[in-house]
Amino acid sequence: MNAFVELKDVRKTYHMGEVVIHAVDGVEFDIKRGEFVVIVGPSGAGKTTVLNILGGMDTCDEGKVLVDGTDISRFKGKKLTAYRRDDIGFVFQFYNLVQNLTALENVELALQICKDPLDAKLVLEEVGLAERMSNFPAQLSGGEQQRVAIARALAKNPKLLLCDEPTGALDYGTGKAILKLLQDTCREKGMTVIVITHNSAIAPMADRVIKIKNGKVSNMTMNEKPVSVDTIEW
Amino acid sequence: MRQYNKKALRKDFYMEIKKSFHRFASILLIVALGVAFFSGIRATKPDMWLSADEYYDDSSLMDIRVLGGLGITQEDVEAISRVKGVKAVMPAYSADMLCDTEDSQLVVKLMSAPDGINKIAVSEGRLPDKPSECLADTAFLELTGYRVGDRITVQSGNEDPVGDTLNVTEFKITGAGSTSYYLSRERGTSAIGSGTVDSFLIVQPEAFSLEVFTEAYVSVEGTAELTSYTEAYQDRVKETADAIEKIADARCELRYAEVLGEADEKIAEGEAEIAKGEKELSDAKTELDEAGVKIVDGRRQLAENEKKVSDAEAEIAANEAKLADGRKKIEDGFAQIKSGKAEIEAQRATLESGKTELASRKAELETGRAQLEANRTTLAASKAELEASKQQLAYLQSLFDGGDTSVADQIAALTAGIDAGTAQIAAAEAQIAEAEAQIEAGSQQVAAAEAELGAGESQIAQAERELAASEAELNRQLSVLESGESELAEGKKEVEAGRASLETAKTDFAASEAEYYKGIVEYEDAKVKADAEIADAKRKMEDAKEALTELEIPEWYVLDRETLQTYVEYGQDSDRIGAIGKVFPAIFFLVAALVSLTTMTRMVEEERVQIGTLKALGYNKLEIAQKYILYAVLASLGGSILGFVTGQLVLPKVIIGAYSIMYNNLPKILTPISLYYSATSTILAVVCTTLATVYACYKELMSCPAQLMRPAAPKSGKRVFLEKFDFIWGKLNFTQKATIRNLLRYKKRFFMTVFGIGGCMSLLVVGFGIRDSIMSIGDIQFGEIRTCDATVGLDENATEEEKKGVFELLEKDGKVKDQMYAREINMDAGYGKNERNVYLFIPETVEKLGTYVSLRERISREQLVLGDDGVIITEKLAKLLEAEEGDTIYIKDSEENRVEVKVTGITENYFMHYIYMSPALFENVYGETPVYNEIMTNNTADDAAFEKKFHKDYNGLDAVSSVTFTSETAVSVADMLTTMDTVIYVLVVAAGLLAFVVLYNLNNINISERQRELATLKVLGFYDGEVAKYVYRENTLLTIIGAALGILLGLILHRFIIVTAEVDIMMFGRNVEVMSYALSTVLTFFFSTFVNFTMYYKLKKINMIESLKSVE
Repeated sequence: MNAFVELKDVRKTYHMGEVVIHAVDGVEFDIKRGEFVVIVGPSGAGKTTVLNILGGMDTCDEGKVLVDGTDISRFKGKKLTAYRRDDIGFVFQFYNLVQNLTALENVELALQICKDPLDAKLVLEEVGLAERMSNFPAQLSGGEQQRVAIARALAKNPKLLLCDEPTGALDYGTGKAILKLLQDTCREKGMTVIVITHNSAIAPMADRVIKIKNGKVSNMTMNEKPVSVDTIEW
Repeated sequence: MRQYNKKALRKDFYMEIKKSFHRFASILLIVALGVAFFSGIRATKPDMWLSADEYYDDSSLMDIRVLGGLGITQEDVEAISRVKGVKAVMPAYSADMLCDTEDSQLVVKLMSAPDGINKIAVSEGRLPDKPSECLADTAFLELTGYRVGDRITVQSGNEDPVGDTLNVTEFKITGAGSTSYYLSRERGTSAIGSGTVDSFLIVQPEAFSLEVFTEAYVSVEGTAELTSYTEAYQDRVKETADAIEKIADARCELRYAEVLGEADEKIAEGEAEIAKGEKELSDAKTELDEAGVKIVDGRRQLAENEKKVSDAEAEIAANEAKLADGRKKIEDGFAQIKSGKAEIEAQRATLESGKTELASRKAELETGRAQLEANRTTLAASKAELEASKQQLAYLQSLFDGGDTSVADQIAALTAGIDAGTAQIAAAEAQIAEAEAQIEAGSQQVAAAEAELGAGESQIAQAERELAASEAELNRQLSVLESGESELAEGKKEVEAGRASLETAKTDFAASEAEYYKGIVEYEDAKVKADAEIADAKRKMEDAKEALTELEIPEWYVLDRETLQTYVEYGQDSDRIGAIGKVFPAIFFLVAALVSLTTMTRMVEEERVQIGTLKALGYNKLEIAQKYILYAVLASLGGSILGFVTGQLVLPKVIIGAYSIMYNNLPKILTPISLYYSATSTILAVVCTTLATVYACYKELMSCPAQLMRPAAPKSGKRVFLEKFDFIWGKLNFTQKATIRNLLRYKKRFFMTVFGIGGCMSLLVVGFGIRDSIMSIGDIQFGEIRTCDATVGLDENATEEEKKGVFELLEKDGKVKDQMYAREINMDAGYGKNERNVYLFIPETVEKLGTYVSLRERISREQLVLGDDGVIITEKLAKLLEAEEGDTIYIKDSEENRVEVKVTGITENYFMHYIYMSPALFENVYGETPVYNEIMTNNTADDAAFEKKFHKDYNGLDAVSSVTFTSETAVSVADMLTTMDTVIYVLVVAAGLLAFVVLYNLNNINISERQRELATLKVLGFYDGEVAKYVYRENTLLTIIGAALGILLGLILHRFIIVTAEVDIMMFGRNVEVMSYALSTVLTFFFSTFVNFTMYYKLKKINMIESLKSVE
């Protein structure tokens, strides 16, 4: 089976005044369709940059990024936006919900622009927010907000679900529940999910674990038998 | 330590400004805008005062004018100059005169050349220095087209002869200029001509023939340092004016006594003159009688002389006849002598010819004799031959006889020959004998003739002698005759001379006779006249005596600048601007405060964590707040300085500049930066923004550090009222919902934007509305109300016949549909303490008035009918006089000529004040029929060519003083009002700036505060355009709400400005046209769109990654 996502010698350099930072320094990895991928690494290792490049929020300076056979690394402007719009679902650490819209409306916000969206209410029910649909973000707990964020990402029916520290702002229990939701989504819907975390403890739940250090892939392992998040303690 | 900390804070402060310059700039700008408008418009009023005051001071405009009922004498002038506070007094003459120019008849005010007060600003040429020179008003040159160097003539405008007032009536224009006495084109009213003074002329005092000055101009100590129109100035002048009033009574009594004395003297003089006149008349009579006697005597003498001359003439004629007779005889004698001589000559000639004939006969005779001799000789020869022949014959016969026969023939022949010869000789002998007889007879004849001739000669000699004797006799007679003739000629000459002198004497006599009769006629005429005059003079004397008893003690009118029309109007205009300045800038201040509040709130919110940190470090509230307050103070201070400098430099200049089109004499516009307005506006602005800042900081400063260190709970979404209406809400998509919720979420921003946009919109509505209001003057005034097409002004001096001539000409004009006489005259009308300059209008036929002027109530459009019981006045006049229907107002052209009339209607009118009065009412109140001074016409054509022709055709007539087309007036009004365009531009620019600052600020805050939200949208795959739309939708909605508010606000503001700003003589339309609302809306949306457009790039630049990294 061919790689669904393929990164080839991706490099990204930031110039901070006179200092040159090689945030991504020749990253290479493949991901197959339907995999649950965890990218781990310490802060500043470049994992977020990799995710941003993969999610079309940033561009790389060198290398190729193939998603479902399309090289997006040279995309710019409108094409890149279209890529984000149609192929990517993003989940952030701080949810980034529109405060002025209810949970349902936040999901609908994403659907307005999609080619083939899912039903907003249905998705919200799936993430367990059937009762809180008409609440504003401020009226929801962190976990609930993150669920809304996930629902928003999923409702777009993306090819890739990218999650940047989705549990970073959540307490342990809630964090676990969110990871469970992501894992279930991957399993049940065949969604390719990539989760960034600095918490390597959750690595066992992934199909594929990519370790990034100093802008390079230091290690990539495949879990033949990924465990459920429920069984993981940290 | 403290020092160090402060340094750190200061550094943070400077960095803050640098970092958030757009925020700093937006506060600075809005404050600048507010302060500029506040200080600029407020400063306009004092700047107007200053600009005018500068001119007044430069030209030493009088502070007080003293008019005396009986004039002002030199003594009065001296008395006034002694009054405390009086700096200088200048006595002056002035008089209104008519001046005919090519096109029209103008009323000119002649004023004596000023000396120290009311100086003339000479713009061309020089002041007059001879009584026959004048300096003309620049307006005069503009009006008439005369140039410096031209000559003009003035004439009296009433019955008084011009000589009563002026010594000189023809002036050479030596220069042109203006005076601060007249700031605008208005020159006040006059009792003559059209009632309006058109221009002034400055002449030398010597040009006036008045006995006393007409007025005295006074300048008051210390007023130059004070600004006109201020209370300080007015108080100072009032003090002196009161002091002058105090001496007025005494002076007036003196003047009264003087006039009384003079009048008595004059009456005495008059009576003496009457007596003298009567005496003169009787003297003339005596003289005439004497002359009559002389004439009779002369006539007799003349007859005598005539006879003598005729006698002499008859004698001469007789002598002449005699002489002529004598001469004739002598001449006859001469003629006879002459014919005698001629006869003698003829006889002598005959004699001579006889002699000649005689001679020739004698010669013939001699010849005959000679021939005879010759013949005799021949005959002798022939006889001899014949003898010979006979002998031969004889021989031959002998022979023959001899037998010789041969000789027979010869004998025959010879015999024949001898026969013939014998015959011939016989004949010849006979001939000779005859000739001898003839000669003998001839000789006898000749001898007789000779004797005859001798007798003839002696006869002739005798005749000659006789002739000579008679010739001598004739010559003697001739000389006698000639001496007789020369004597007669002398005698004749004498007689002729006598005749000539007689003729002269006759002519002379005839002349003196004619003169005598003429003298009689003249005397009779003169007597009739003189009798009438004497009677008249006597009556006048009586009248004068009676009037004298009625003569009242005169009064002085001590008038200050407040009685100068243009001075007052200018002051009122400045007050209006002042009134606008009080309200107008409020909008800017409100918006400035809102902008500061939202901006500072946002700034404090952004720095929440830093505030928390500082608090945690132990800084006190004041130290922390200092930064924000200082930030606001600095921004508002900078804005204030920028604002009051530009505002006070630009706005007064623009506004006064617009006014100076009306006040065209104002030489300079002064726009100093006033400390007062700069300070007040700055303080106001700084206080406003600082308070807003303190309010913004307050909440944060009250929170505990721990709370501040945590990210602020985002302002939660709330359900809005609209959501209850599912049928609306359900139809909205999420972006629309979000927009509506957002709008209601940030109230400060909402109000800031709505007021900002509302302000922008209202400024535009006001701007365009003012234009509409002004246009209505043209459109309604000249399109619906004063609909007559042309007004033909009639010369005040024109006779009724001349006027009728013009009227008939108009009647015949094919392009004139309709015409009517009217009287239109400038007057003052008043009610209570209010008084205004008006035109009193009297149509000849009230029924026809509607064709030329529409009288109607503005709101109900009800037509008004002009009755004989009262007048109809125009709306603005009613408002200014505070008079209503049913009130009794007064109309006057001078204090003495004041009538009261009842107002029976108030009519819509936008330009000038009119009082419409029926001719019947006029006659009723004035006791005389109105003298019509114009003809109004309605024409069938209105093209320029027609108007030009019409103008040329009628203005050329003597009786026509002017031809005015309503269209011309409409155009000139429109021209005058284009000055308002400047105001509109200022308003549009201000509106644009306001909209820009507010929307820019709003967008800045929105974008910075909602960066996460926008970044999220971007991450979700919203295109840039969609993100922009998300933001713009709010802006657009705010713009719509703001514009709606702006319409309301603009309407109120417009009404306020129109009512306060309108000039007295005009009434602006009260309504704003739909088109103006549309235009304002379009412009407002344009500004809004423009700002949105500039913000687009800012939106595009939002970095998703940076924005979403963490909670800030």
